[in-house]
Amino acid sequence: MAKLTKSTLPQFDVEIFQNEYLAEGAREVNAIVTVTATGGGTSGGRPLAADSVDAGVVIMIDCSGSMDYPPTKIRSAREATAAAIDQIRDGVAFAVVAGTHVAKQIYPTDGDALAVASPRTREDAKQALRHLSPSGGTAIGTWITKADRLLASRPDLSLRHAILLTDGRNEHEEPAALQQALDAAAGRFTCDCRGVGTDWEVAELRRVSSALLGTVDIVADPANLADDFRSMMENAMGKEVADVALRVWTPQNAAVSFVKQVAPVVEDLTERRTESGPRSGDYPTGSWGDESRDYHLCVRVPAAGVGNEMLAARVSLVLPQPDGTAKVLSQGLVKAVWTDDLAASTRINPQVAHYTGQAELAESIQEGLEAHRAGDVDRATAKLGQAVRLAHESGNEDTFRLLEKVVDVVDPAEGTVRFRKDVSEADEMTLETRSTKTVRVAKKK
Amino acid sequence: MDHLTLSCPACAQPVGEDDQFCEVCGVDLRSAGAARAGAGTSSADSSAPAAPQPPSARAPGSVPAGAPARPDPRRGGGADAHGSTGPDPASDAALEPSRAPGNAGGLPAVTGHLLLDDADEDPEPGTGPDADDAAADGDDPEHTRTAPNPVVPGPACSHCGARLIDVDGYCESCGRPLPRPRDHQERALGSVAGVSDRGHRHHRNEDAFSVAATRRPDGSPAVVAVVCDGVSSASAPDEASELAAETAADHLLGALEAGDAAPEATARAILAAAEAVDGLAERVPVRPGHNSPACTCVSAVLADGRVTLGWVGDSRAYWIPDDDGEEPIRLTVDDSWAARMVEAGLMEEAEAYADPRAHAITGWLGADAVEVEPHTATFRPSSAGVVLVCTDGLWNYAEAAGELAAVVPQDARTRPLEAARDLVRFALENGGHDNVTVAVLPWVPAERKGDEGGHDDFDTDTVDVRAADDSAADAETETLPGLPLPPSPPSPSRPSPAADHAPEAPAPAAPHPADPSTADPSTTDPSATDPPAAGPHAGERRVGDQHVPDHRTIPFGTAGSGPSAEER
Repeated sequence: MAKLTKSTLPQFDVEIFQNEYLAEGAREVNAIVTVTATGGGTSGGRPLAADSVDAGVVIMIDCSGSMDYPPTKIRSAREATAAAIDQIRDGVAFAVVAGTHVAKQIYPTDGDALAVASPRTREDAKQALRHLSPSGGTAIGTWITKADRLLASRPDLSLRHAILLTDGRNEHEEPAALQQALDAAAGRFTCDCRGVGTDWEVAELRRVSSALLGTVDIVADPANLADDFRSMMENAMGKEVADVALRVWTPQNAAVSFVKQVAPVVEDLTERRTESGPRSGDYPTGSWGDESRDYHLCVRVPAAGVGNEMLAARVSLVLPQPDGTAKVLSQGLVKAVWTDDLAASTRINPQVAHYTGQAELAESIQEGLEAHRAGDVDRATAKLGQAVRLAHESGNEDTFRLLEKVVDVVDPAEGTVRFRKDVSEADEMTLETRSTKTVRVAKKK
Repeated sequence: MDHLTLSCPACAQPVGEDDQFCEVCGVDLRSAGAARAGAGTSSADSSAPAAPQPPSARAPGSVPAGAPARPDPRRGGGADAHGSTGPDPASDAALEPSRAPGNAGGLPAVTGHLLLDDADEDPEPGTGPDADDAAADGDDPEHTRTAPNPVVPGPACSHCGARLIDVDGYCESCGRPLPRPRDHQERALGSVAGVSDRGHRHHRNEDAFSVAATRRPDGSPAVVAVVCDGVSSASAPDEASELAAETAADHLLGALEAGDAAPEATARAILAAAEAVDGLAERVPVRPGHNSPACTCVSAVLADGRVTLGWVGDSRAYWIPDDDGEEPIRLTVDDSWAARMVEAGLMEEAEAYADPRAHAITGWLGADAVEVEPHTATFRPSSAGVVLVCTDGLWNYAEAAGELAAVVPQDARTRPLEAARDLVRFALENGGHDNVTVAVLPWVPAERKGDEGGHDDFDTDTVDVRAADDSAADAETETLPGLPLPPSPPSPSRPSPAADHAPEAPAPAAPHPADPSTADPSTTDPSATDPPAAGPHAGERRVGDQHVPDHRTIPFGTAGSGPSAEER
């Protein structure tokens, strides 16, 4: 488990945005929780001194036969892996795994162990990449299990991360087997996933990245892999603290309706709760560098009369300690106040409204593309029209541009769109993969 | 409400099941007191430890300058000591997230500057330092436990009865807030008492008050009460009212000790409070859709043989004479929509106050106020009685002076704290829709005249803006000095709000506040005030006593003095 050897732990701040005023009889309390980690790694994100490094990273490269069609794919994957290896800081433990229907360790060559990054080991690892030769099938669950075993060989590491690249579907493994591997690995390391080309399945890879609290993205053109891997590894090296959990306490007879990460991407955490005490549960958030994330918390509280106040939730960021307890990094209070002042109780908090819209935007895109695949163009058009309207309203320009590649926008404010005739598969997959990306509430002057 | 005990938690006297306050010690039985067994209560805190203390009723801010102006040895050292130590516990407590019961009696919300410093410094074992530590940042090893927060093993939650009160002030079980000090406050000197309550329909108390007493340079007593009502539609109304009450009281005490005329001191004190509330706008986050922090303010000063009132907004002052034969009088004119309509002759009073817009105020302290125009008025009652200073949380239930007088206990003058409690209870029993605050200031004319005489004297005169200057003193009522109006008011029925503020026009005739009093020789001698009535100077060192209050109200013929009683 995590070991706090760093004195450079980031400072966590929790901010709550909500309208705490409820009308008589109302029971639902919504709040946006903004968590900001700052000042960690006084190095400002630059590589830390070697003796303070206690991170490990495993790179998993798809070596199924399809990676050879076209051969640029495997070539780009080798280059990208080499670029990523160059980003690994001295002292960080690492390994490279070739994934097919089985997982094969490419570097280091002694079984189930991690190498320690140094100029020499990085060079050796890059040499070993020549052994990445495509042949065989795809069983991602076995790769995950292998990465878990490798990282487990160094229980002293506090930051454990993996990078997974695939170009196809998980064809040589039952979905249940993958799920089993994910369940076993969840909470033990984080994993960023990349799909190269367009023959992989977004939902499948998202399942992996969600379970392992990482990102998922598409690299449609293999030529772009190296840049993507470099920045992905840079990001991984910028993490300063792992296993941070969002702890939510709610009062007696209250219940959490949902907990969603809503920025930078939408990620529903509701089902990820583990009980952590009386009326209290923990939701995993993975590793943190200097960054800020928003969560939407919805709590159902027992009704109370006008003039009453209640603490609807106490939200804290906690870090597990070696002795099984948890260190509270920061906390915020979500309140409920019942009032007969209608002006107060009907006001919707702008943050809550904004992220409700962003979550709806992601959902509309996914449903629209799902309908499109099922051949229901009317529904697809309606859903993507709604998405266009929401993206336009909220100023989510990136998503709006991705939508424009799939539909012709007639009226963005009304959400009037037409499906494009010549939508490329890459554009549609890019839209789907990045549908969960949100923007924050536009700052008021 | 919850009744967790059938004996008072503060004094162990048996209490009735339906009692809201202990009949013996006056503690609020509904929540705080009931939950605070053994820890003392707000009223106990405010009265019990007070007696042996030197009075710290004096606000700390103006202590140094005022020293020579306070010849009374009973005040000097003690007040200064409190002046220097007072703010610290208060600010500590403000930062202290714990609403732990040991602190409850003397938290920063206390605007009465009463003798609670020691209570702050000596919190209940197990809550003070521990709570501090626990609230410190997460490095504290005590903080690293599985529960979200260290739980102070304290009193039971008044809502669900769980014995877990979290350090941030909410029950660890049901999430209800621990009763807060401002939910119910009582502050009393012998010469003035105030009580404030959250009421039933508001989640926090946005009213604040300050009661204090000091001496004029000539040694005569001066008693001050300030009551403020935070504007709910503004940001941080509770902070605004607290700051305004404190600032105004501070300024009044300083000015009175320096010998300033009470009307000028009043106008300046309200302007100072306005400025302070303005400044709050920059310090508190302004909630979207809310105005800058704002509040009303009404003050009463009893000094130099007269009553000086100042106000902005719709908090009020009333004169309630002891003698039911005399007419009670409303002493202030609201800065409100309703008052304006009545004043303009557009609506009858009853009609105006029944309108939903009635309570929209047209004057307030706060950054969004176009111009703060403190109204001031002076009044010289010739008989004994009390001046009530209150928020609309009280007068909503007894708007006319006569109605209000009917619920003021007969012995209000000699038991001001009990009277204030009774009035608050009256408002709560009638619904308690708003925060309710009232201060009671006993008044005894410098030389007791016959009741009839006193009655005649003030009953037939207008409250204010009648006379042109201090020469009107002999008419027992007078305007703010400096008001250059002839004796005929602009409106036949109402003083003109536009006319009765003159903060920038200090009275030419009133630089020496004692002067007008010389018209009545007895007023220059404070010892002439009625000692048993706990006159201001005698009362400084006294707080509301612990006797069972006599709650009987005066069987007063309200019909006769009706809604227009406060009119001329």
